[in-house]
Amino acid sequence: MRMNSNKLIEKIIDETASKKYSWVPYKNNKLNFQNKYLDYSQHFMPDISYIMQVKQGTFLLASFQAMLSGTSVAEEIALYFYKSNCIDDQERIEGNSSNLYALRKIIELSLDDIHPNLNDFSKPDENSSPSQALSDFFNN
Amino acid sequence: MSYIDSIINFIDKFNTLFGFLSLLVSGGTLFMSFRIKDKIDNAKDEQILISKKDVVLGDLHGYSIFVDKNSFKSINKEQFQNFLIELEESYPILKKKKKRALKKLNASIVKDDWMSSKRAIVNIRTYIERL
Repeated sequence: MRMNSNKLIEKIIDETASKKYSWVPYKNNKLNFQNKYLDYSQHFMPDISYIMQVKQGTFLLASFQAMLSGTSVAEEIALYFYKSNCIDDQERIEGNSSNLYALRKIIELSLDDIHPNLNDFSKPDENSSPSQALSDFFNN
Repeated sequence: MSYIDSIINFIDKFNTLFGFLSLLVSGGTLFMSFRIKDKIDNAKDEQILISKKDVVLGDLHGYSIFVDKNSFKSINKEQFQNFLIELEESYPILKKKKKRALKKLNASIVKDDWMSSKRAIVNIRTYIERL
């Protein structure tokens, strides 16, 4: 069954916010995913673009920025899907909707929300005794 | 003589009345020019926000969805407050029209009250959507 793009984006937003989908920044990604066409574009922003790899292919949330007259910056965003990670097989799902900016914010918040597990109360091994060097230090 | 006197008297009174009326008119013009200037400024500020409407709406919505799905503790509050400061200072129209909502939002973040924060976010989002 084919979903329409709005439903699809809603689902991606939902699953990303629940942390079921995990995205990584496009820049220097370790998934070996590079889109050379975008890399050549001066407006493409790899720092604020993100990718997610799934069994069927790769999603790319690409951000673009361009300077307008003076100091204002024009921004665009688009969601692409690449079947089997092949960059020539590109499908543009949607572009420039507030939902995609919301998705980007959620990805950024999820990436920020990685904390060490502070609820880990496991105690150090009680049977282990201080090392000989430590005992020597206290005995002297 | 009394005929001339009465004419002079009439002109004098006419002058006083006219002076008073012109004072009223110029006062009114001054008031209107301030209002027009304010309207032009607001329209300019509105245009700036409209050009960034999708980004601002998306960012606010993103915060809202993320906290709903996780918890208020899962976001960095200082970062959220910084985001709001940037929003308020970059778009003067928000500072002017949504001052109370922004103030309330900030206070709710400090108090860790997500429901009030969400209400304020929806309030601001609805205003931007209608622009």
